Amino acid sequence: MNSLPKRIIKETERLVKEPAPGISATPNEENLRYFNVVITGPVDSPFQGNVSHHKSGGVFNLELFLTDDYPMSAPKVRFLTKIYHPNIDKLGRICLDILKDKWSPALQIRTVLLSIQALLSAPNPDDPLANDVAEHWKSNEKDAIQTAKEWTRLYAA
Amino acid sequence: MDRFQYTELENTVPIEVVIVDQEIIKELQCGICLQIINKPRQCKNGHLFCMDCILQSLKKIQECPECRCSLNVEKLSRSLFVERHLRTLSVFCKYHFKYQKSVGWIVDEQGCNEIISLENSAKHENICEHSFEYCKFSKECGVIRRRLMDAHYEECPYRPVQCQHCNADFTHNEITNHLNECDMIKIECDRCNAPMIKKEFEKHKLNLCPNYHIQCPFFESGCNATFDRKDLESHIEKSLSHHLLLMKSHYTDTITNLKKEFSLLLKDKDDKIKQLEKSMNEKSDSSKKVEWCVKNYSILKKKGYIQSEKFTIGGFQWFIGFYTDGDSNDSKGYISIYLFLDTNQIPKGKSLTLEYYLKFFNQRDQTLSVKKDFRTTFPIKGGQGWGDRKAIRASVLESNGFIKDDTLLVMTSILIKKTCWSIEESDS
Repeated sequence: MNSLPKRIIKETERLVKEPAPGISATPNEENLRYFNVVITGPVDSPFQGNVSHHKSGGVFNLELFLTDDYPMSAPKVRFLTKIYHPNIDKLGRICLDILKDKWSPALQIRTVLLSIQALLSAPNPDDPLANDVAEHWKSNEKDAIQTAKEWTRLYAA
Repeated sequence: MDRFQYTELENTVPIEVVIVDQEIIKELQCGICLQIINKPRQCKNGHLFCMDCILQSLKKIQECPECRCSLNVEKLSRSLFVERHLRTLSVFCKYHFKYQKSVGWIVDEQGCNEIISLENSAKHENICEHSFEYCKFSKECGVIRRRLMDAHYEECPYRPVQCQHCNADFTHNEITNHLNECDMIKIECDRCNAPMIKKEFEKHKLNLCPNYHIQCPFFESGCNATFDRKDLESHIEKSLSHHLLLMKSHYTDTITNLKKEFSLLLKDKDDKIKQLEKSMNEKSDSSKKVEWCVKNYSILKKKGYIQSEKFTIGGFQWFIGFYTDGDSNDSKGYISIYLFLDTNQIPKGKSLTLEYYLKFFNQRDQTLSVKKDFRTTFPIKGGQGWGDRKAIRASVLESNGFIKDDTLLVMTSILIKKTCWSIEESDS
């Protein structure tokens, strides 16, 4: 196995030592470029979870992989937990510009995960990945949010 | 700013560790590699990166990774301020730290407390009294702080020492063992207190020391006295006649025993010689017998001379021949029979003395066989064969049972008695 670049070591250390609120990222012991990520659904979003049951929120599992080219190329991130969101498709793929053409090597794992967390707070149906969900969102936002809450209860509890 | 790596004997202290003001690291960190900036380059908005990092990024996308302003190699600029800032950055000497497994770099209480500018750190570290070196006597000692090296050399177990007795070279931890074994060490004889070196002590004890107990030199003759070497002379003087008597009886016994031994030995040798003689005689007595069967005698006799096949005895070839009606006027009516040596083969100067007989076997009555004995030396002077020209009358041979079924049996037995070489002076 190639030796891990200092930048990845540094990022990993900081992620573990000073985790961002609502975000945890743990490197896989066998492959330090592969992270198990857990993002808690933001408060006041359909992905918050059941507040009345004093649960902190919906819990979404993601996987994150740093390619050999990182940080010159964006990390690969995917939702593992089913989620009803106009910018996330059935396979968990995320439509987020910084994961694609807007990637910059000055960005980090932390900033990527914070952006994903923000995407949960602010779905953007005008730049959809899951067309039917986006359509639902645009035509009947209330109903769509209700479905999202339902999915959160079902899959992200 | 190319010297961000310094190799220590066992490890490299990262630059982030040695910087005194840890707060400053964030300001001087490259946004791409997250390390202290190496060869700083900036965009027009002042975002700083290592030169290598930003060049790599520009290959992918021509913008600043931080502010996304348009950027290419030509637009990159140096920052003399940051360069100077980095050069003059206050750092600890790397020997201020030590590496602890699973903890990392921690302050070494015994280490160097010097604070220098980054650009001067290498120079300082080269001469730093807190740096480490291997002991010059042995790698076994591991690395030692330069500051403590002199003290170490004074007590290093591998420091060279010379044996003051034999002048051989040793390491300090070997010398104690060596001193127990060194045979050049000065000692005193435990009996006479004479000074000497250890390796001469055995010789002294065995041959010289007056106080060592010795046996009387006449102990082989039976004197059992023992005494200190210094009393030898007086003992000899006192016991002169006693020693002579002891010697006399000792040597008488010895001579008697030797005689016995000698005669036994002689007898043994005699027996062996006799045995050898016997076996030799047995060998030479074994005479060679040849039986010659002359078939179709009535036809062969018309030739007047009949000759046998050659046979080998004593390494030479022989044959028998006989004349059926004599070999001269004188022997007419007789059978003349001879043993011949094939002289073509016999070397010059060699002669063989033989005892042999030639026998006409009577096939009707064995006792009537005619046997002629000879003793002679071959080669024969003036001829080839030796025998009897009137061995038997031809008429007797042909009528009295010698010939049966037209076959005559002639026998010979040859015993070589002597083989001689007479060497004559050669003609040339």
